Amino acid sequence: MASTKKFERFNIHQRLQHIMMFTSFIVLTITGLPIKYNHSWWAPKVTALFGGFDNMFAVHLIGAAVMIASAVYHLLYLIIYPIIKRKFSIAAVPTIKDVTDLVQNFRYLFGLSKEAAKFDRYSYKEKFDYWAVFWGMVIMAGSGLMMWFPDIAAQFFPRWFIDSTRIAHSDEAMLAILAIFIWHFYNVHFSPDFFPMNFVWFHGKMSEESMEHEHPVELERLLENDNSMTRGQGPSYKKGESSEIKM
Amino acid sequence: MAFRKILLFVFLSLALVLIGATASVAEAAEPNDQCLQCHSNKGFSIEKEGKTVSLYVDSNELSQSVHGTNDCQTCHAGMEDIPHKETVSSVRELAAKVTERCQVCHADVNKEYKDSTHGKLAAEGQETAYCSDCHGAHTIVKTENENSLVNRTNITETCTKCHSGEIAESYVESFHGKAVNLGSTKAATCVDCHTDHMILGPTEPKSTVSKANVPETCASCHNTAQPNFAVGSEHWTFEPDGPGKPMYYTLKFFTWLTIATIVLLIVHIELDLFRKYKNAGKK
Repeated sequence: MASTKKFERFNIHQRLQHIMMFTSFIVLTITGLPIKYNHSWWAPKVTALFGGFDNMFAVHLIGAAVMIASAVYHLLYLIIYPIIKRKFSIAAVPTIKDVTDLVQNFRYLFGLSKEAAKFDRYSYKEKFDYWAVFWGMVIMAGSGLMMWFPDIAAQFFPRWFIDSTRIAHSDEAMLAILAIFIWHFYNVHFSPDFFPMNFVWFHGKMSEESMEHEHPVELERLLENDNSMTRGQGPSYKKGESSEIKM
Repeated sequence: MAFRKILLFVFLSLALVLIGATASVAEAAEPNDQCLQCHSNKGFSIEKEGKTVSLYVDSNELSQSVHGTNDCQTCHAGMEDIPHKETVSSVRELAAKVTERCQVCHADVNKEYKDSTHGKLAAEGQETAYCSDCHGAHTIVKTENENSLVNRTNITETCTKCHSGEIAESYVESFHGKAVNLGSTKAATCVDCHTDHMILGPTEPKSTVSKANVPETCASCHNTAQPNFAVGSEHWTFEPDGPGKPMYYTLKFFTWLTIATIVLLIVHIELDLFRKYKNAGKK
């Protein structure tokens, strides 16, 4: 029987970081692609929607500022949150279990095993997404800032290096756009498990049923912890409390 | 009755003088009418170097140009006799000849042009860009006008008529080129780095694009003159050798990274859907 119990999966900081990231990502995609494909038939039309190139580029820079702000917010959060809450988690760091999960999951997908891989707090897919964004932010913000402030960049780097980062900016953007709108959108929108959308980005909560399916190892640990707490201290189960065990 | 006849005579004489006067005024206002009697015919042409050269002049366009009120003779001197005695042997020779006439009015610009690489080549009698190659002939309008060949929206096309190949390709693919193509009012066009009439080749010390002067030229938009602005090349293309080498390998790396990553992710999605389909069938 499906439980109505909800687990807090993402706290308000994580959800705000994600909202800042995806809104700026969409804006940067719309204002960036016409520059990459400026000779296409649609590029001048998109540019005209913004009232000319100068306006569109200004919007691109605003989007860039929001995206960089979300990255800075996240890095500060990684440092400050564990200090204030006295909780420290390395759940997002890749482990050997991710490799065995990957192998097990492929055996399951191919039909060689009846058992799907049992994921902990973050599956190897989610860890891939997280570190892909981490790598992408370094490339995109680094190259973008060099182009935004070329005279400052030229204090440290030769001209050909700054030119190379422009190529990296354009091509890493393409990789990110494809990864997000194919892979990430499948996982959170188009997958039959979540269509039309997994709303965890909005309310941050996941049902016990979803947890059982997506993160059984974490669920088991949370419930065990919860039971021992209930036995020891007696208070009844409170929504969202248990997930505080992990950030 | 005799008095009335005298009056009528005087009146008609005066009228004749008036008609004559207006006719001569009209002639003075349209000094090019005589030229346009022939040159406004669309089919008017001549055979030169085995090719048909049109001698047609669109009088409408001419009158709308900044030189619309000039005499044809201002630029085409020595054409009084019909048929013209002083002829040229080629279209290029005509362009060279008219360039000499431009300085009658545009003396300051002509001095700059003569010192430039274009002007030096002209003096040596080599193929080069004459005034009309960049500015046009009978259709010259102010630079600010969007129809001007040297307006920032058209200047790339104008320069790359001759400077095609690597120079044109690299500019079109540069951020400056892309921005200008989409209508940027700030990004650099050819003349922002190379200047207009004083253009010198990159090997000349006085050139704005010589290695020594590149930092200062970049700084005219990008704040401070950094020596590193000159450590690299502006007009590079994606070649495994030469100035485009770092960009070429950056492009290759990211292209293959993208192909490999996206193929693996799509395979994963397909497998996931395959398993879901199979599982759904079982139930």
